[in-house]
Amino acid sequence: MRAGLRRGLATGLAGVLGVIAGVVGTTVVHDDTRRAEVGLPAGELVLMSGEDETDGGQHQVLIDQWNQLHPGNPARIVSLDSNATAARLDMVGAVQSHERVDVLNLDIAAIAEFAHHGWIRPLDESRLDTSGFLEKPLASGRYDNRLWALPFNTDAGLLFRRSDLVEPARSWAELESQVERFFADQGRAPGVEAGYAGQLDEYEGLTVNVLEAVQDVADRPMVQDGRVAVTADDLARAVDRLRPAGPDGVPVVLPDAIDFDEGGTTRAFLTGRVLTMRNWPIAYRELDNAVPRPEFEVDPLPGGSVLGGQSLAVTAHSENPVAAQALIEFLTDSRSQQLLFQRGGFAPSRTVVYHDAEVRGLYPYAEALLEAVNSAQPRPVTHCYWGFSRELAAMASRALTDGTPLPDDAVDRLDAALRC
Amino acid sequence: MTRRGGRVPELVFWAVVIASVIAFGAKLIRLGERGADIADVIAMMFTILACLWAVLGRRSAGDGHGRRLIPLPSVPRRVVVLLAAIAVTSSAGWLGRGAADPTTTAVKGCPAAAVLRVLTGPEQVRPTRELLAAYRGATVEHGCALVEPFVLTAPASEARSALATGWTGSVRTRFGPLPDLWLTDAANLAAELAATPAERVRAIDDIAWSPVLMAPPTAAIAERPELGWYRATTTWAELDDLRRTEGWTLLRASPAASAGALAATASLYTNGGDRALEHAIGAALDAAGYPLGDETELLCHHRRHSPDGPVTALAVTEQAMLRFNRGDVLNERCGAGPPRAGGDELLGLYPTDGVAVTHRAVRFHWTHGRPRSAADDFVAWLRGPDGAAELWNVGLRPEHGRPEAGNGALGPVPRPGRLDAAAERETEQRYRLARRTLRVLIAVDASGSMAARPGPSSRFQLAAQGVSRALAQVTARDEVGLWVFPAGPAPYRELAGLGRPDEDLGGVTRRDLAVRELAGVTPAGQTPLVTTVEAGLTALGPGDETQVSAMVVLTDGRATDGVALPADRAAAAGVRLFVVAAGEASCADAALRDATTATGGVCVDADPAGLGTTLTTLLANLWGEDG
Repeated sequence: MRAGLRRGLATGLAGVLGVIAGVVGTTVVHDDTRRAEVGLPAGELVLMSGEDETDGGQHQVLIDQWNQLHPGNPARIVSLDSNATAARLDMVGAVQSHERVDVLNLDIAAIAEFAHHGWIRPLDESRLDTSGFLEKPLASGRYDNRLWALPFNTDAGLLFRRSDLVEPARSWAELESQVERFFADQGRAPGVEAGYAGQLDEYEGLTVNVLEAVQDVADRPMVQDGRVAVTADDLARAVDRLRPAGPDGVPVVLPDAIDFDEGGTTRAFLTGRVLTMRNWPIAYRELDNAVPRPEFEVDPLPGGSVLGGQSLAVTAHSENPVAAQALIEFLTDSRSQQLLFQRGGFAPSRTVVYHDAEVRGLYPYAEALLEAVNSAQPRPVTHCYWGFSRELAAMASRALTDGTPLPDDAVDRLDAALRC
Repeated sequence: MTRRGGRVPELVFWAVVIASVIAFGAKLIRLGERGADIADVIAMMFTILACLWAVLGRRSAGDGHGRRLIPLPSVPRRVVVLLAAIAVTSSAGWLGRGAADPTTTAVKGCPAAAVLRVLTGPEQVRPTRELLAAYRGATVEHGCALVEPFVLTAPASEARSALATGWTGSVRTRFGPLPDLWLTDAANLAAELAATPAERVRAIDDIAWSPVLMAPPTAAIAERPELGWYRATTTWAELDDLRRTEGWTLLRASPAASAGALAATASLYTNGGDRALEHAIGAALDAAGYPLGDETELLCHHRRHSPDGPVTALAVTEQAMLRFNRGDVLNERCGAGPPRAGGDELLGLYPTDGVAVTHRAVRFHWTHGRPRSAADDFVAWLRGPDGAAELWNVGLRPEHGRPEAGNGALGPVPRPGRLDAAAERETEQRYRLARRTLRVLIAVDASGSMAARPGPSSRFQLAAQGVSRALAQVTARDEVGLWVFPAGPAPYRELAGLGRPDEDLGGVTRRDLAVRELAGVTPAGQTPLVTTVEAGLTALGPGDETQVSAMVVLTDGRATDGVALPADRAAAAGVRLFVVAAGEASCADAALRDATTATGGVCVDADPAGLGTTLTTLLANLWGEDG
């Protein structure tokens, strides 16, 4: 009797252990069973993306092509706000609310967060040929040693320069010298108010501008191994560089830039208020189409850029991840990338497109862009990035707006934000 | 009760074992919400194994020396209790309400906050942000906020239409994320939405209200003690008599843009004389350059430029008065600041036959998972004591709770009724018939940059679609004209001269002629904006007590024919200037912003893809339609 009871309990214990092991296994282990599947399981695919800003709506053009080739997997785009903050939040809400969506077009800074929380699933690398992608945009899709997203378009900050008024500058000091010389002889262009404008309003753009200034001042990325890797002095000098000058100083930075996003910066450049501006490649088409067209050229940013762009990932709750991955592969192949750049003006993530003769004819700055992307530094790779970014933008904005120093504990606060 | 060697009471031992099993279950459930969390699982698995080990390996009852149920090595009970306590503690946060627990937070940082996307009307953006900031603070556990709120905005009628269709199509691009919650002061529209066959609404709750009142400066009453009884024992008719007797100027926001103004209008129409009243209000707004907008815009202008001379009384909600008196931020364009120096604080006169604006929270079937829980928790919080205090802080009377008097407001007051849907429609109709007529010239940029294609359609085509929709809304009482600029070598061209929309112009109405001519325009050339506006002012002529003159310019570029718009001339000419800016044009440019503000108009930024809809909304507000 007692022995029977013991056997029963031992069996029960084994059963409990089995259940636990089963739950753990099914929850945390990636489901690889679909690797063996041949062809695409039928079913509609939903792609969620920030508003398509390419000329002529090239995202939809590509989706139309996919739908012609894959009638069993018709895809549709759920278009979100063009504001990156709103789009990210809508995507978080969509995955938390189990909204019907298979593919997300994520800002590359959000990949770590989505992967960390299990909102997207790793791509099946056994089916992928990633050899043609630019190295850094591709690497931005890796987190925790797995590939979660493929780059749809890449981005790097560029220096747009009034080529009729100033020469190329290879460093920030050189740019400042040129501005000083220009204003010593201001009669050449009376409407010019300052040498430079960037994106200094309080949002993700300011974070990027500060990160770029810090990496130039400190000669290393601001964040390394999940910690702030620069000193308070480096950070202060970087923010000081972005401060508009007082009434007696050389007007390097345009005072109004503290309210600028990308559009405001472009308008200031177009209206001749500044000699140079920091902006993304997409600004080129607007400047090129402007009437009258300003005389301008595009150079790499002195001190280098941080990497931008958007990447495509499969949601964790997609009911058709195999077809979803196939759609991602289609949207990121060389042909799609060429169309996006050629017709839409978005910087491609495939090397071959930059060397295409037709593309080079359309975009003379393609080489500068490739150089900028190849030398760009990734933004901090952490699931806490958005909290870090909010903290950095808020403290930099206060310092620029009020003309005050950064808080004494700025580095500690940013360090804490990096760990959520 | 203690066992030898264990020194832990039997009851306590079993309690912690059972608690640890429950905690383990909680952890497993959380895995489903937060994704793979292997560290948690392994830690919990060891805890539960230790418990099982101890239970199954315990000696039989009696003196403690009996045989073990299973011959396993002994685990001290204190160790078991300790492990179980850790398990329970680590899950306490989840068991309570949220997703942060001390051990997880210490090791891995904060868990993902639940997103809460809240839609509200333009007037309520600031109060909603304040409420959500307070709620977010209330959810912080172990340094982690459990919600990440986001506020998006859309006018109530457009919100209702978009929600009825499931927030699909271009809506998400135009207004923002799919909302989990709609906080609205358009109570009847919320009820209409709930009644639609598509069954979008999961729950609808009244959360707050705000009475509509007349608010003269405090000094106007304080200096006249005999008027004190008007504060709470009078009717709208008696207040209207008082206003006339005392010679007060009456101001009110646009009923097309504000639920409070619409409710105030219903009360003000009690005595009849609708048209005379609207003409008087219109003249007063024109005289001091007030915008034709919602209550926040009205009070923002009042804060900055309240006129000298006759006493000005405002027919507004108590919420608007409170926020003005407290010096709160009124909207994104109007920061914090006290009422004008010199004691212009307003005093609420509460009519006994008045109405109140009801604020409702609407939740949707499409919200699931953690956003759904967050929306439910937020509504529960709003209806609880903490939420009640915060509602009063943003100027609203909670459904439960006793507000304190101050800042021009009375303490507890009897709750007035609200306008039902039929009364609301009747008021809107009466307003459309009574308001001043509009003489509007629309000038559309047809420069080369308007050929840019933000999507399948060009900017110009999108603008043309918006103009077409707007023209369809022009009432027969109003006058409208349509120009484009440039037109070849000429700075502008008249496509349809100013006149009644349905006037026959050789077999075609002015409305149809304008749409047809616009479709034939090919964008090209520069942006002679200044020349066009100057010519438009001349063509329009001044507004007066019976008519509003307005010029609406849609442009995506900077003026290529001058530096600044002729704001002074427009203001002097009595023409309100409105600008819809896109592309290179922006309301951040002081020239555009100042010129429109100086004339009592407004500059509105539009996404290139949203050019047409922004224009339609702006014009709909002018016509007094729903948009």
